[in-house]
Amino acid sequence: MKTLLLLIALIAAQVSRADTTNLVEILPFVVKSSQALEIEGFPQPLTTNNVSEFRVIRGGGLVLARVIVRDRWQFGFNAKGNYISNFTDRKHSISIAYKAEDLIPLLPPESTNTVYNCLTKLEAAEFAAKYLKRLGFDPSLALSPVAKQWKWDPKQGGRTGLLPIFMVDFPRKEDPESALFFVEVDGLHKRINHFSTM
Amino acid sequence: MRLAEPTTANLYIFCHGSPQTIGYDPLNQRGLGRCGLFSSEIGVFLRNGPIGDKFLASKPYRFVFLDGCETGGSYLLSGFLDFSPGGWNNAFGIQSGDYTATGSDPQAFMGWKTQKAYAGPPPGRLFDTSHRNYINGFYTRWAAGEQLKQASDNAYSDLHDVFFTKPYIVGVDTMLFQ
Repeated sequence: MKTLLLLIALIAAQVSRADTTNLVEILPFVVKSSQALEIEGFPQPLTTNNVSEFRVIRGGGLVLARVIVRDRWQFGFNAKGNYISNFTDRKHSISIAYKAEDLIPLLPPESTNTVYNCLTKLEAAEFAAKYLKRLGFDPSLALSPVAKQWKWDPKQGGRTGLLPIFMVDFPRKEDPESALFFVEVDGLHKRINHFSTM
Repeated sequence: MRLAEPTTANLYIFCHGSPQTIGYDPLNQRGLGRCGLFSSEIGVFLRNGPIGDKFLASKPYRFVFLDGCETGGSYLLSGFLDFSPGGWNNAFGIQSGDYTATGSDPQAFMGWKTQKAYAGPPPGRLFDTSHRNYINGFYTRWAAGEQLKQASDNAYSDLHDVFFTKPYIVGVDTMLFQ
């Protein structure tokens, strides 16, 4: 009997450690992250009908899931640690929306009469840290953030200027050349376009 | 040759390599696989590369990862051959320029600056598990939504192998797998 109980306990322990790769089980993590990121227009309640893509990707000892909501909001889920490890707004992240028609409208207006309220680099770094905390991460595990601002400067000429898009790196203490957290901030619309971590 | 086909935009090759060749093992010249390709040959074939102070990219690739020794230039040769006009990124029309906001499509090239021991000399023939795990981890992370450099750095960090070197990345290191 003892052996049987031990066996059951071992199986139960294995089951409890199983990777979370079921979409229905992952969706609450997606919802929680979408709330932390304060995503406007995100479907509420979120159901599997709103999911346009779901893939489980395994390799290198990792089990990650990719969930795309309404062809726009993409979440990477770490199925071993049970947390959202990356997010991309596929409509606005500069990694995808990099064409002239995406970026020129973001440039500061040529007329000084128009209000253009964009974060500074320092504010963008603070903004990124604030949202990392909301997501449940601890930015103090990394070195002080470094924000870089994108520039629109096409080779073919035309308008140039600083874009309100910031890349905020939170360097690892043990390897400052790589980021523990990486956040793309839209400093004009005050939103997170992308974040990723381990 | 499919390299030049319009729909070919991404390339991963696991092969022998050097700062200027792929497919040919310079350390094993007695081997059968002596037919290698030079970066300059591929550059001419694809009509990619610098011409004077301009850069010709008739067949620009989106992403190329040449997973072979020293395909990202070499630390030993740094300053002499390190991404000279014959460099691999140029052969695939990938410029080392700044970022996507120039209006061009994002491009990135990855290679190694070091030799990678995929297999030891016979009779050992030990596969380098760090290399295998790096490649698996990198592609898993990248496909799951991490940006290029982040996926690479995280895959490297997962190894906990101080003897393993990171790959060399040229171009838009924030690129997504898509």
